[in-house]
Amino acid sequence: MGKLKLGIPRALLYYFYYPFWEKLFSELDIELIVSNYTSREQLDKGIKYSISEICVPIKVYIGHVLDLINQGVDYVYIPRIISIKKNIFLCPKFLGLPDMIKNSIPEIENKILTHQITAKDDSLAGFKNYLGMADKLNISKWKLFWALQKANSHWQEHRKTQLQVNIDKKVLTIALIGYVYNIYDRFINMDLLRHLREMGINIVTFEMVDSQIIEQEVKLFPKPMFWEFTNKLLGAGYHFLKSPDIDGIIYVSAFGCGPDSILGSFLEIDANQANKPFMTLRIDEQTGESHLLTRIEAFVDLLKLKKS
Amino acid sequence: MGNIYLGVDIGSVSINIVAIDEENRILFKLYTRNSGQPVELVKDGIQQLRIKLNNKIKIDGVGVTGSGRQLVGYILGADIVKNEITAHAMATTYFYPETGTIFEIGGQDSKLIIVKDGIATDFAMNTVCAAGTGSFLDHQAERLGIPIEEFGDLALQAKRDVRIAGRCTVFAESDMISKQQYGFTKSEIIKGLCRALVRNYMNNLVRNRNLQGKYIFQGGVAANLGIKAAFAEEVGEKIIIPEHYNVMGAIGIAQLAKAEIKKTGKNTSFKGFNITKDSFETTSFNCEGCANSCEVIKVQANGQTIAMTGDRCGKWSDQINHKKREQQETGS
Amino acid sequence: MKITFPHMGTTLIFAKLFELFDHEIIMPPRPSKKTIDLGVKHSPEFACFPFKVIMGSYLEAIEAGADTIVTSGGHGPCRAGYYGELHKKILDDFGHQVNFIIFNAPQDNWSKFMENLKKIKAKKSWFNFWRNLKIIYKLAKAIDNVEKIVEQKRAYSPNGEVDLIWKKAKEEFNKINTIDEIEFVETKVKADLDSLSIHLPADKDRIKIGIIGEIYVVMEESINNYIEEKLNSFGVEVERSHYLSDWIDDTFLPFFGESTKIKAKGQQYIKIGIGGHAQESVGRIVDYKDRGFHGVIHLKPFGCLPELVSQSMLDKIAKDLNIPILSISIDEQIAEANILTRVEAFLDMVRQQKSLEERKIKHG
Repeated sequence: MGKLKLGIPRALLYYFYYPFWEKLFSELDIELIVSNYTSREQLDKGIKYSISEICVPIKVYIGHVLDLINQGVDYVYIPRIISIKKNIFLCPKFLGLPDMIKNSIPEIENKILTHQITAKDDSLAGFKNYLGMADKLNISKWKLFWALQKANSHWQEHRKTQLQVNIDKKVLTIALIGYVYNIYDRFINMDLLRHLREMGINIVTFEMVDSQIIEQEVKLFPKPMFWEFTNKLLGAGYHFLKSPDIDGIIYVSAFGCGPDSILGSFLEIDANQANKPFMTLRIDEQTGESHLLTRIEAFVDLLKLKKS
Repeated sequence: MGNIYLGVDIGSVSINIVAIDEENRILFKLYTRNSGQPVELVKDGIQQLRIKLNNKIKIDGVGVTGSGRQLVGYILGADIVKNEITAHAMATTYFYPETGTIFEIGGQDSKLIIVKDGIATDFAMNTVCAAGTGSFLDHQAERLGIPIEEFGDLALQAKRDVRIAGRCTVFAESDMISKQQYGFTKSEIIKGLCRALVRNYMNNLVRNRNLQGKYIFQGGVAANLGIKAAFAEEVGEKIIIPEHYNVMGAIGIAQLAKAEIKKTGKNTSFKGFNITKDSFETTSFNCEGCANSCEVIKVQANGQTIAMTGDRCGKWSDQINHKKREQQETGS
Repeated sequence: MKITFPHMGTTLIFAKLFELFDHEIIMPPRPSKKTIDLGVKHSPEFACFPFKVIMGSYLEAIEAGADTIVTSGGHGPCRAGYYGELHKKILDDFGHQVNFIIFNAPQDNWSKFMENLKKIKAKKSWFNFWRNLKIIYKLAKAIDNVEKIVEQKRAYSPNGEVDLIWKKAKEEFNKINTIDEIEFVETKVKADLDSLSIHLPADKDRIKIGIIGEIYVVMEESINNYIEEKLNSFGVEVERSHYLSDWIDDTFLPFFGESTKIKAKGQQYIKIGIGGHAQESVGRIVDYKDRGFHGVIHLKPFGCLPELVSQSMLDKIAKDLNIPILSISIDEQIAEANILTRVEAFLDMVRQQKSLEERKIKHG
């Protein structure tokens, strides 16, 4: 019997957890197939199978799931990540993700590999979370245990390398606040990172901030956000607000994102008070590239003027 | 002359009037742009009907539909006032009993009606956004300086495909301008716009519904061949445009009026052709009777109040209804 | 301390609560076009609609002299749990000096909860405190009991007799001070409703529609365009998935209320609680189907996180259960005519399908 082919959608938390999943599943002798890069065609399919009001990242995700089904994988891996910190959850759409996929795409139920994840920290390696899945795939507990150990140490190493950033103070540094799937999906944000780099700009994101700093900032807040990744953005955002090395902040927000509407409002009011240049870029399934370029160019010009 | 039933569709962009006979034959048909004075247009239309049919007619039933149905319903004394989704489904299934899917695109509304065995089983309607409606095309046509009537034919002349963002009118506009700068021709841009409209329609209304034939496309926008072609491409099948595509709502409501009269056996409550000489006035005031402070709309004919609506408690509307009942009972 | 609070459903219950503790109350005006405009202007564009309306209500109440806002928090992951904090931040930013008393779940922060409670209790004894809470609870139950009858009988009362009694009932309930009085009013109103010459049609001629969705838009009629009254006026009986007394049960006695049972019914569609009432919404559809309802209307604010998840599966549920479902998103841009057209067409469809099925049964 050949290896089991497991599809991972190149969307949502793929951009955060792929190193972990890659290690885990290779240790479990499962062949991983990552969906193709986001494309127009994929997004169109995603749009077709989702309700029009839902946020773009979910539409993108559905497009990737369909892409994997097309590639003939045995299962698509859609974990239900409930919490990666005590009493702090992910957005309701993550909590209901497998339910939503199961009930939006016809005849997909048997193609979904899902299990619940509740963890105390960023690492997804909690053994208990995987027991049901291991049973379903006939994987022994021992094998699962060791695979998780290895995946975890690989993950910790990876996080450490992310933290090593050198800021060149001579050029402009912009902090990008936004979820990984908005920052790193080149199609959906129209290659924002490349555009900024071509303008010779340093970029920092929340993953480059030590989680202890993030947590300290969150503690200063009257009531922490309910959503873990929003908290990470919140902590990093307030850290950037105070940091003199950061010349400006761009909040990259997806059309229809609920948590962003809350955090964005706080940051905008406080950035204003801290006199830190702040701009919200709203990404949408349709925004034109010229529109985006105009806005970031104008913002960069403003920062240059301020710095000189 | 046999019985005649009148159907009036008060849309936000057009006002349509038809008269049908007992066999559902169309005796009269009028499609006019709604200039914002529906009452005057309806009076004018009824005058035209009278001339066309040589004064020798008696109306046996009246139905009113469309977003402005309530007010005109009062004025005409309609026997039935119904929403346009039901009216459209009625007319289309009459002409095409095997209808599976109805695409209806009007000026500010677009609708999808799914029909099975002659009965509507599901429908969808655009909610807040104009991007999938006729006004989207109107707006872009104006922008390109092309009369809307030529729009569809031009789309068919396009040699290349270009994708235009269509989720929102404003984005579409900026995208259209930038594509023009890349050197795409007007007809290619127009084809792109037609496809953007249909794509929008598909995304917002159809979504992942499994559509079945026959496919009927109606409403004011159905005259546009570019849109028809884009629909055909999207569903991969032939699209039928009914002969009376732009007045289907009016036909449907006329048929419903006929059914209503047959069912109740009552005489029509139509106010008669004299209304064309009446002067109507609509005013509104805030009732301060309670904390609701409802906006009450009052319709007067020749200074006499014929309808009041908008009050939630019935304080005002009941007075009129009460009077009407008394009149009916005394047979006046 | 001049207290105000969000306007949601039968507000007289909240007003009564503060009245019993001798607080001065600034009644929030029923949300109007003006409230919405005001709220939209002062809220982030992508905040959900209830946030904006409540913002408008607060601004109107502040203008009328309120200096203290009492509201509930929550622990998410629905955005509503964060409303209080963000309202406060924005009002502060605009220079409005108001105190917020935000009630979060007691287990989140027990001492904060008690501190808030004492502010409400003011000078009353703890004995009075419990007595008053009991009165409020009974009042909420009594009003909901009456309203459920109204939602049924009003469908067969085109001349407004039922509405008249309902309006008077609310005035009477507003005057009560003791549990005996509540019981008296409830009995009397029920007798009044019984004495009307309204005959419920035979079972096969009745049409019942359930309303589900996000709690604020389901309960606040001025925001949902009085959808229950409209449905009733089309001769259709209505029941909704949220009543204030159920909400009290859920919040304070989470494992004893009906909602546990309802959630279980929705579990095959949404496995776990995901915030808001998404799981109940789905469970209610199953429940309505089981109870012989003919259609379901799903209401939600545009962009509502939990209800978007439930909306995603409505097509499938409608097909699985063979029950028509209409979903309506509400925000400041939705036109009343649009809602009305869809509701009307939906009822036509429900009626046609019902008679088609009856014919099928008859002809085997």
